[in-house]
Amino acid sequence: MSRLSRDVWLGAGVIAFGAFLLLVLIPLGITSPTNVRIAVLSPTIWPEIIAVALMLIGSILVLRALVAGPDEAGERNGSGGGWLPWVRIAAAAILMAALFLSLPVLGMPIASAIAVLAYAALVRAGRPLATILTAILLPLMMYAFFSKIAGVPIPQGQLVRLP
Amino acid sequence: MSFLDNAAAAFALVAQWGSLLSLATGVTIGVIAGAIPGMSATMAVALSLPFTFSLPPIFGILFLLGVYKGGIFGGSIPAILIKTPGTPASSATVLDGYPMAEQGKAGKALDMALYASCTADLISNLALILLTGWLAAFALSFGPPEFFTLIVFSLTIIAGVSGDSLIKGILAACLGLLLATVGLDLVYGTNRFVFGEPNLMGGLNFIAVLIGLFALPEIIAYAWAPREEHAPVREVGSDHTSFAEYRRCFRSIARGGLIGVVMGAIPGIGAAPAAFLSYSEARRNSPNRANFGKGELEGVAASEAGNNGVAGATLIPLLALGVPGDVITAIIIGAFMIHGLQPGPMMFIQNANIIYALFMGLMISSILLLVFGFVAIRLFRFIAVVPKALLFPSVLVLCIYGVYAVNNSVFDIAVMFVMGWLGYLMFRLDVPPAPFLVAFILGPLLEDNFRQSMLMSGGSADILVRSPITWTFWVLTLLALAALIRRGLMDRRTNAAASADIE
Repeated sequence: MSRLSRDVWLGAGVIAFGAFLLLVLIPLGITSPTNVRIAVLSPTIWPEIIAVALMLIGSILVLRALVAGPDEAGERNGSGGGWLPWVRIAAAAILMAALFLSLPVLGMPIASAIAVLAYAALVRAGRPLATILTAILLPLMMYAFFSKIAGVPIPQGQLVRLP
Repeated sequence: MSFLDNAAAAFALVAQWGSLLSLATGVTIGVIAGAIPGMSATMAVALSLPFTFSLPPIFGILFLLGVYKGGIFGGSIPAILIKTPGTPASSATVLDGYPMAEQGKAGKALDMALYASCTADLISNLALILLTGWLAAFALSFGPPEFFTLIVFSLTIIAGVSGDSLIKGILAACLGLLLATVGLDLVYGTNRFVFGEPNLMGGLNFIAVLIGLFALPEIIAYAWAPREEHAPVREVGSDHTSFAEYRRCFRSIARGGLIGVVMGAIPGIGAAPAAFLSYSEARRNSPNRANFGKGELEGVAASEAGNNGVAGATLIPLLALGVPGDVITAIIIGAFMIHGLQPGPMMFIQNANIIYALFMGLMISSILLLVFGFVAIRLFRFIAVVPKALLFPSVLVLCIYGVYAVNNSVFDIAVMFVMGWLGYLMFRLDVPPAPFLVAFILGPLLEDNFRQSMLMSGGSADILVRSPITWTFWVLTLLALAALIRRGLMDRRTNAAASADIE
């Protein structure tokens, strides 16, 4: 995607988000007391200013992209490389979601150990011994520091309880 | 308490094994992290922050400052030995550092990088000590309208210089300001964007947001393109910098240090532009200018002096005004807050001993940097072989434990992941994350000062242009905007001309 079309889409998205914020999120998400004497002190005023600013910024982005044309620098983060990077990105998203959801069941040391192994497999890290050692030792070291030295109760899950 | 009482109390704080150990550990971790390609000083400071919660304030803050200073220098080691700057601040060091390494003079380049870094660091620390108190005394006369305009000015600069596009920087700042409104309203105590979720009532955890924005996108980006590409590691060799060579480059080092101080004291500019400006000034004034870019020792000295000259100076707006000048000082302001300290002019009255202790600690850090930097140069061969495929999952583990430890909250881990994906999206769209984070941190302060001003004036906006100080900041903001827009237009014209040439 060229920077021209990308910035047009970005600008349009920002305008849409600004409008959604102004028309839906602020009325639904902010409780404003009825006895506000000075209008600019209302809890809604600051988010409303930001919403208007976002719509303005979005409009400038669209206009600038349409008037000035594409910028070559925009290609540096391009999506070359076929479908494989998209698969890896989707897998990374699933990995993070699974890691978060498994924390109450597996506990932080085990869940993070599995996450290290899964990420290393995802990026084809090689070095199996170093990967396994990192996956086992690093979460245990973090557990030991935070739990025993910093006094933070690290979630242990329902399977194994560490001392 | 008098100055001498405060200085004595500060000395008692610094002259403890804990303070020195914190500084030494911080500098060591910073140098190692800065030297690992793929890590950055910002990431190192962000990941180190959770480890300071259980420490006394002075130990924790000295530890983070050590990581910061070590990280900025550490970036020069891979810049010279493998042509890959460990941090963006070391990009200018590559220009002469790597050609020197190719000529078998890596040891000389690394020595000069270290000596220039320590000298500029010392200059920067002295500027911090001399200027901060004066600026804080001046800032004591600031009221809410002055602070409001000061923050608007800082955000404008940060939004303008953090990325390629001013408008995208402002977009990032607006999103950061919006995120900062989540939680209870400052004046009426009503809910804003809480949607029934009790975890959101206190607002989003700053550390979850910052680690999500600055550490996770690197991990996600590596999943997109897992490549371990860099030039072969050059030998350090036995060629070292002599005192005569240091003396020859001293003028460029001192100039670079001063450039770093000026650019560091202005919010938002950061170390990389300071390094390039110092480098170009050294080349303009040097009798060896023809050798710049081909392996000139003075080029390494100038760029390293420029980027390290920033390190102490970025703390000037932080300590004197309570306004972070860049992302790293934004993280450090978080450390202050976690320990119940609020940087700004009042800190010079309420916690002057801590301020003086920090000054003393920073001076010591320059010496420690010399010692640990010297060792790190020799050990780089082992640091450089840390593969990203193992580094990034390890960083992920550090992120999870670190973010959880702030509030013992699994919800914060979810916030971190969401911010990580937002940060990655911003990276893909060329929207800079630095204005987002700084606006997120300064957002409550900006809104609070705005609403206090409105309360004082009965809702009239005139109060925002009532004093000479507010006028000064408005004029500076407009000048900065004009300069940034002009630069953007010139860049666009240059790119268009370059494209036309290619066609």
